[in-house]
Amino acid sequence: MSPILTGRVLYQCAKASIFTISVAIFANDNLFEIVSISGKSMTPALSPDHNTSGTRDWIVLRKMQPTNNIKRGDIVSYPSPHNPDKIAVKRVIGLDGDTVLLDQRRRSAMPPEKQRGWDTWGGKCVVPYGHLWVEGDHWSGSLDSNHYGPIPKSLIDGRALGLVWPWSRFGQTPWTQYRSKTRVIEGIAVCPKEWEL
Amino acid sequence: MASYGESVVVSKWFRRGRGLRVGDLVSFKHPINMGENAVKRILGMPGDFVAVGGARGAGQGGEGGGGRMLQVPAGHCWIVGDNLTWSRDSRIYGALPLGLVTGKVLGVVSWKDGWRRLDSGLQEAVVDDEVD
Repeated sequence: MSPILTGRVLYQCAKASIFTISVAIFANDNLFEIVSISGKSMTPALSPDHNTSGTRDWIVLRKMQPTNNIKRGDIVSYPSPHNPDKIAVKRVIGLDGDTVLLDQRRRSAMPPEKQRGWDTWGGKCVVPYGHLWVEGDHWSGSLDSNHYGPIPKSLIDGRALGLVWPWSRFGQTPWTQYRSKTRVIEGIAVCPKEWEL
Repeated sequence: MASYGESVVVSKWFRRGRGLRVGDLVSFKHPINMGENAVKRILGMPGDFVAVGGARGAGQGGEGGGGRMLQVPAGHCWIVGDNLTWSRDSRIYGALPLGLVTGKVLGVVSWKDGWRRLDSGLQEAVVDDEVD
């Protein structure tokens, strides 16, 4: 085989791969990302069989302006406040300005030292301006706002659009039928004086 | 840094708290105003204790009876701007989740002075073994 031909072929392959990889990285960060749900905090809506058979659901997230028109009940992804290397996927329960009445049932599933932290809320929390209250659907095994409080909206980097795996449920959004048991008093968010431009 | 008109070069290798230390200037997404970014200095990493002084601009910690000491929680950092009297930072909105940090500032570019590298200003401690 002629060495010049091989060199040109390699060069073309390298150019094409670098281009494809760059586009894929850009799309992954800024447009859409596909993630797998491991963990039981969102059962039964997502990964319902995770504990029994280990099968995980894969969802596609929208990364462009994920908090635009966000509604209560949407699923969002964000780096976990206590461990930023892990991505957490949870449901939005309260928008800014809402008063969230904390679910007593979730407290009973926590270990005693976490229960003390939970008690400091005094049973309710007013979500500050620019923040969201997120919770996992599974009341006994979820690390969420009941643990670390409301999260800033800027922390959210993706909003779930639909399932991509298992194939039988492709395109569905099984989480829309869920009604959270946490009571929320809706309110309007007021931008604090210090941040008004 | 000037208050406007200068650009900073941010290294995104240091996003989400990777490799960051006290004294680094970081760029982060604003926790309250969506879509805004800000640049401030890290004064506390997770586990560090920070002293929050009395009223804004009232000087060093403890004055006026409002001083208190907090421990920075896991996964967060305490950021403070260099211009203490006018900076709106962790002294107002509390510890910043490291998930909001987008990178570390390497230097400043301006039309007047060109490229200026910004260091953290911290020096290694020098232990002099000869002095008692």
